[in-house]
Amino acid sequence: MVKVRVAGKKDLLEDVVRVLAEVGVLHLTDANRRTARRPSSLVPCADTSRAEARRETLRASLRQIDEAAALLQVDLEAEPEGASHSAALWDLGRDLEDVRRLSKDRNKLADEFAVAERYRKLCQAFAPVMEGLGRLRHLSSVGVTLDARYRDQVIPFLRQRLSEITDGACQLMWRPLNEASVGLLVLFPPAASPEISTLLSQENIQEIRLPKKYEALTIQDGLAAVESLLRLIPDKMQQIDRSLACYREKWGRRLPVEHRKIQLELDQTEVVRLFAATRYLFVIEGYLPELSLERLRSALSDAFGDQVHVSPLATEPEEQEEVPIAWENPSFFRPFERLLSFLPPPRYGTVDPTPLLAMSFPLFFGLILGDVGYGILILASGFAVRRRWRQHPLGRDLGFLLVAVGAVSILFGFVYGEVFGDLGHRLGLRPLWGDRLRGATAMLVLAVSIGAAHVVLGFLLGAYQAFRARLAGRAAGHIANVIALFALFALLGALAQVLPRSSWRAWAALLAAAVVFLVYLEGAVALVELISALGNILSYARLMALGMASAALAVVANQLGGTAGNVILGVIVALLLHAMNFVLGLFSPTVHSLRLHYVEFLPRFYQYGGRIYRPFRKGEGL
Amino acid sequence: MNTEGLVALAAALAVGLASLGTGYAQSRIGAAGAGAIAERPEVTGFIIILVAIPETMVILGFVVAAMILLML
Repeated sequence: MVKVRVAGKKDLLEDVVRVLAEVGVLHLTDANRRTARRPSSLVPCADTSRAEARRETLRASLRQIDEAAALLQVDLEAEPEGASHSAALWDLGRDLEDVRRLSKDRNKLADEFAVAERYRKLCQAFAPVMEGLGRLRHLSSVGVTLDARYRDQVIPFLRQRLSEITDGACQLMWRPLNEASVGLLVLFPPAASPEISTLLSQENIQEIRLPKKYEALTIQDGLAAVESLLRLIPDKMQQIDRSLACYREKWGRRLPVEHRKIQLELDQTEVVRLFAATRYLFVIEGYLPELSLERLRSALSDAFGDQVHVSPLATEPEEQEEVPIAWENPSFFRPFERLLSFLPPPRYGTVDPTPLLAMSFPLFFGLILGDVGYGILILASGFAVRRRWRQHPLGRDLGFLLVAVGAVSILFGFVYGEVFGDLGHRLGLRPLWGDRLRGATAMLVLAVSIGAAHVVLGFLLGAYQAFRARLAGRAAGHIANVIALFALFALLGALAQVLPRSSWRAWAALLAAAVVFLVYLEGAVALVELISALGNILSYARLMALGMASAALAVVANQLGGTAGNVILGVIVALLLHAMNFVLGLFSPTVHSLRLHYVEFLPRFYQYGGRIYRPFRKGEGL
Repeated sequence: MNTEGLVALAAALAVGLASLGTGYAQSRIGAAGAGAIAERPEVTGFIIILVAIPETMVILGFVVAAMILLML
C-alpha cells in the first residue's frame, strides 16, 4: 500500500470526487488528522449549510426508497436491468402514501382472516353443543385458545376465577383443537364482560375477538358472519395485491437505480468531511495499492491536466494502524481467504496466513474424513455448487473449497483403503498406509506429530514477524519455545527408547536451559504459554479421533445394513446411516480444522487490528 | 470384577466424564451464542467455532480411553 495526497484547485473538488469514485482505487483517510508533518495552514474542508441541506434531502429520499422497497418487496441489491429510468422521484411520495394505505389494509385483512379462521375452528370444535347454546341467547360468550401443555393448570384456575367474578353464573367448556392447542368457550352474563376481559388480559390469555361490528352477535350469528368474512376477505386481499403489483411494476426497476444514484451522490457529498483545504486548494489523502497509483494519476491527469497533483507520502509511525490491508493471493488461494473472514483482519505488514491455510485446511479435512466414497460425493457437490452459483463469488469460492477438500479426502481414502467405510476392503481395495481402525496408536502419533509441526511453524512465523518488527526479545521467546518443545519431545523419545536412552540427560538439560531462558525473557507467564502450547499440540489428536469415529460409523452403517435380513431394507438402513455420516463428515472436519487453525496455530503470529482496504467507488459507501 | 472389566470401566469413565464436561460447556456457550446470533446473524460462523472449542476435552478423553484400551 502507498499513501498518496491529491491536491488541486478548490473549485475542481466536486469533479475530482466524481473521478475518484469512477476510478475506485483510493481508500480515503482523514486529511485533517494532526500529525507532525501536516502544514498548519490546512483546515477542514468547508462544509456549507447548503451541502448539509442537500444531504438531508438525499437521506430523506433514501428513507422513502427503503420504505417503498420493503412494502413492495423490491430487492435494492438486485443488479439494475436495462437502462436507467427517469430520475424523477417526485411521484414516489404520492404513490408511497397509497402503498402504505394498501399495505395497512392488507395486514388488517390478514389479521381478520386469521382471527376468523380461529373463531370458526373454535365453533366447529363446539358444534355438538351449539344446539343447546341457542337457548342461551341472553348470555355473552368469549373464545380463547390455549397451549395444550398448560391445559391442566390454566382451566381449573380460570374456572375458579370466573365463578368468583360471576357468582357462579358462567359456564366454561373446552375442546381439543389439535395436538398443540385447546379451545375454551366461556358463557357469562353480559354485565361481567369488562371484568372477564381484564382477567384474560392479566393472565396473558388472548381472546378470539371478532371485528367490532360482529362483537354483539351471538355465537350462531357470529359463526355465520365469520363464514361470510372468510369468503369475502380473500377477494379483497386479491384486489389489494393487484394494486400493489401495479406499483411494483411501476417502481420495481426504478427503485434500485434511484437508490444507487442517490447513495453515490450522498457518498460524494459526505466524503468532503474527510478533506482538508487551504484558502485556494483542497487536499485529499488515502491509500491505494502501488500498482493502482499510475491508473489514478493518469485518470486525474486526463481529466484535469496539471491542475490536480497526486504525490506519494511516507507513512508516519503513528499512522501505521490506519494503513488498510488488501488480500493479494494467487487465484488458487483466494477462496481460502473466506475461511479467515470469521476473524478480525490482520494488521498491515504482518504475515498473510491464507497460503498456509490453503495447504493445511484441506490436509486436515482429508486426514479426518479420508474416504473415497464420501470424497467423491463432496467433489461432485463442489462442482454442482460452482455450476449452480457460478455468477456469485461466494458460491464459486464455496464450490472450489468443496472440490479441494473432496479431492484430498479421496486421496486419503486410498491411503486408508476406505470407500464408504469398509466397503473398499470388501471390494478388494487395500490401504496404501494402514487401516486406521486397527492402527489407532500410529494414527495418534501421526496426528500429534502434525500438531507439533503446525504449532512449531506458528512459533517460527511469530519469531519472523517479531524480528521484522525489531522486537528481538519476543522473537527470542518464540525460538526458545520451539527449542523447549523440541527438547521435551526428544526427552520423551529417549525415555520411550525411540532415541538412545542415554541421551535423556542432554535433552533434559536443553529443556531446562530453554525454560530458564524463557522465564528470564518473559517472566513466569512464559511457562503458562509453554504448557498451553503442549495442550494445543495434544489437541491435534482430534485429527485421529474424529477420523476414527467417522470410519467406525461408516462400518456400522454397512454392518447394520447387512444384518437387516432383507436386501431393500438393508440398503435403506445403510443409505440413511451413510447420509447421516456424510453430513457429519462435511460439518465436523470443517469446524475442527478451522478450530485447529484459529485456536492452536494462528494465535502464535496472527495480529488482529487491521482495516480492510475499501476504496471509495461508485455505488458503494465509504 | 476382573481386570478386563476394570479396564473397560476406566476407558468408559475417561470418555464419559469428559463428554459430560464438554456437554456442559457447550450448553453454556451454545445458549450465549444463540443470543449473540439473534442480535448479530453475521457472527454465526464464529459461534459455531466457539461451540466446538470445548470438544478438546472429549477428544482428550477419547485419546486416554483409546490408550487405556490399547496399551494396558
